[in-house]
Amino acid sequence: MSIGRRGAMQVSLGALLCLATPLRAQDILAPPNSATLEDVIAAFSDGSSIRDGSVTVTLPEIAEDGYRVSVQVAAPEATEILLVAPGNPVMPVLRAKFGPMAGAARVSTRMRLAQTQDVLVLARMPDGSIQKGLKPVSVIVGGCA
Amino acid sequence: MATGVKTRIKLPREVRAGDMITIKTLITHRMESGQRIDPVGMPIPRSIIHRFLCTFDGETVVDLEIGPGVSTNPFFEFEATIPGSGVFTFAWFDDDGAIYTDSKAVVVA
Repeated sequence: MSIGRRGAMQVSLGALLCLATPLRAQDILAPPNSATLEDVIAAFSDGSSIRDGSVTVTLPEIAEDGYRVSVQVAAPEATEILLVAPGNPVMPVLRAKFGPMAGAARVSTRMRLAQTQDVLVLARMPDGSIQKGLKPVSVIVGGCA
Repeated sequence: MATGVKTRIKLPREVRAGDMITIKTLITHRMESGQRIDPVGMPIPRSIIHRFLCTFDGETVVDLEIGPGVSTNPFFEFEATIPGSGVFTFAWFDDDGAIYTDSKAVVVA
């Protein structure tokens, strides 16, 4: 598609209008920031009791670069796992649901960590109970999450 | 829709029925968290991959709900146990509405 002179005028007019009506920071940032850790846990556990279990969180003890920290979460038999970084502006990082073709309730990824914190993992077991795992991690350079 | 998005998937070369296999996936995406402020002081709107779904012949392997805490170029590694030959399909759901898909056929030895 080529943009003719008229199209170009409309685009630049649109850009000017965008600049003239600035969005306030809180309009965009408010919803994710308003959830507290309790809210996040309650939304996942849905009233079920939470106990320590066989949830493993594999993280480096010291994360030099908070922009990319390798993490593996595993909970044998779990149907669903939630990875939470309580020290990040948006706490829920990853929610994994395992289907019938999953081999093990295990997932690895790379996450951002804004500061030194205790990473929390919640796992929903087949009987509906919730197990948790905690792993402290020291962050040298925080990744803006 | 972001341009130049590349997906990469790694499966084991040989698969036997009933084996647990490890799947590694990567997609190039900047995963703009929505927390950053541009040089003029305006917030940069969130633009991330918010969901990833892997299925095998229509049945779910993993369904991931992704937050802005996942790093740029999101990488995921997970396990699947498949009963026989079939096709894995992978879908990444972008905040802007785009869905990036890929698939890989697996022939069980």
